[in-house]
Amino acid sequence: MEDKVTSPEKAEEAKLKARYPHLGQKPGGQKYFDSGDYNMAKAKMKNKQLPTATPDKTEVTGDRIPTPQDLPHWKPSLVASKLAG
Amino acid sequence: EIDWSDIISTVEFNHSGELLATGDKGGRVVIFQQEQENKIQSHSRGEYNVYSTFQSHEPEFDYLKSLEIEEKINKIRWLPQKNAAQFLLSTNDKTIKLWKISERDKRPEGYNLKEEDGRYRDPTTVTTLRVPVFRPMDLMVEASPRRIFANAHTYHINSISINSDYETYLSADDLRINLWHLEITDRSFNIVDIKPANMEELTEVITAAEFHPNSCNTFVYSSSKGTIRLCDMRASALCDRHSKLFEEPEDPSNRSFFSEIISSISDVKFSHSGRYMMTRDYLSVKIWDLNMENRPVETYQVHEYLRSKLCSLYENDCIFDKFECCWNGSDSVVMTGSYNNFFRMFDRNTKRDITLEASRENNKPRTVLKPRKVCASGKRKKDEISVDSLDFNKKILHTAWHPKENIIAVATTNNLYIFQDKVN
Repeated sequence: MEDKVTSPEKAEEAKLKARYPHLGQKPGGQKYFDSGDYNMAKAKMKNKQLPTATPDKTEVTGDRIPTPQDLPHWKPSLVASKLAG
Repeated sequence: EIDWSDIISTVEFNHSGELLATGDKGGRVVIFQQEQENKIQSHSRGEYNVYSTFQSHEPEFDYLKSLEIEEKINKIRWLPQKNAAQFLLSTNDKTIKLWKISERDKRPEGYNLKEEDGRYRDPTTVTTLRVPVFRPMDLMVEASPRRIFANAHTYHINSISINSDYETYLSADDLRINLWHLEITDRSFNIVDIKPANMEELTEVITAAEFHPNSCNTFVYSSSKGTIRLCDMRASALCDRHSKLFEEPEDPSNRSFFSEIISSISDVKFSHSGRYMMTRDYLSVKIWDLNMENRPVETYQVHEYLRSKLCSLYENDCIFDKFECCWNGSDSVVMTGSYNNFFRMFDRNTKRDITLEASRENNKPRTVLKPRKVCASGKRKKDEISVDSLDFNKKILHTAWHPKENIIAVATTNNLYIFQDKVN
């Protein structure tokens, strides 16, 4: 006889799998149209902050030369913290 | 609207509890000082007022990797006080700084060659000599950077911890832990390295690390897979092999996609006694006896009602929130934050727990906080809040407990609350 009681966690997992069928799959395990398709799928996965994502991010050297518009504008915090106000 | 740079990222009392430091996303440190107790009005402890504020870290740009280095202060740790000045370590993702905070309440007056405003006097007009004297002035608190410990971390620093020898400290990033001497900035020793030869094989990262409060050779580090490793620096120079591995066995039939994510330990703290350590994972706080590796001795559910909301919490990224935890001075109570500006305390002796809220709307100053209750399911009682009404943007990630008194500091997104228990 099947046990019909599902843990809340498993129920949530089922919900997630229903919304994102390809979640958790390594890019190599699927068929992709071309390298662009592969990279798009990889980027979508990396969008989720998997704990391993952070080290990967810092390993990449920029993939294109930044233009002045791309550079983050520095916000020199000359304004005092409001806690100190 | 909240100014991004005002978001508080760390809170820490110093060893006496007289000073309380906060760090924020804008790279600033604000230090509060407790008022000396008023002898006449001894019914309440001194209030905390702003003592000093300074810019600790600035945003930087790594030109080689085209990446921005955030100025956000990840951690502050105080050194024990040795002389009139106070010292603290503050760190962002890449650089640790030792700051000296000193008071100046006197200044020299009566120079022979300078006027009081600093202008130089014409030497030919000087006819008599006088000896400059120190005269009182309004208290000025100055912060100056004494050491900069840079360029030792490829990945983001998540922890710093000062050794009980008060001479060395460790800094930990996702994959490595380094040991520093407080006097030496051009060298640090790598004591843990979990980086795999092939980054594709990476499955686990370091989430927190701390030195033992009494044994200067012992430290622990926690991982994203819910394990804690205790290392002994006497065993070898590189502590890649742990002395103890703390891990609670998991029922494999209960495993889900979320299991590993919610088991990731966001904070680890030794008890003051050094006998126990506390870990915080997404849904619970666990107390471990250092003598027992196979399971925690106590487990406290922080917000178990979130287990049936994991799907949405994954979608809005809240499942990755890193909550901290802390002990009270006598190790009898532990505290941690939750959502909706709620924070929780667990009394280890009485096994009672309480949920309180840090918010201005619901609490007038100097009134006793009302306990809160979250209704997990079914009919909501009056004064209860249903899980679906919780505001997941109001998270309390950082809390601190005074080392000696029942005074706590609770940081909401951009506000700092200081609570104390009633003094009879």
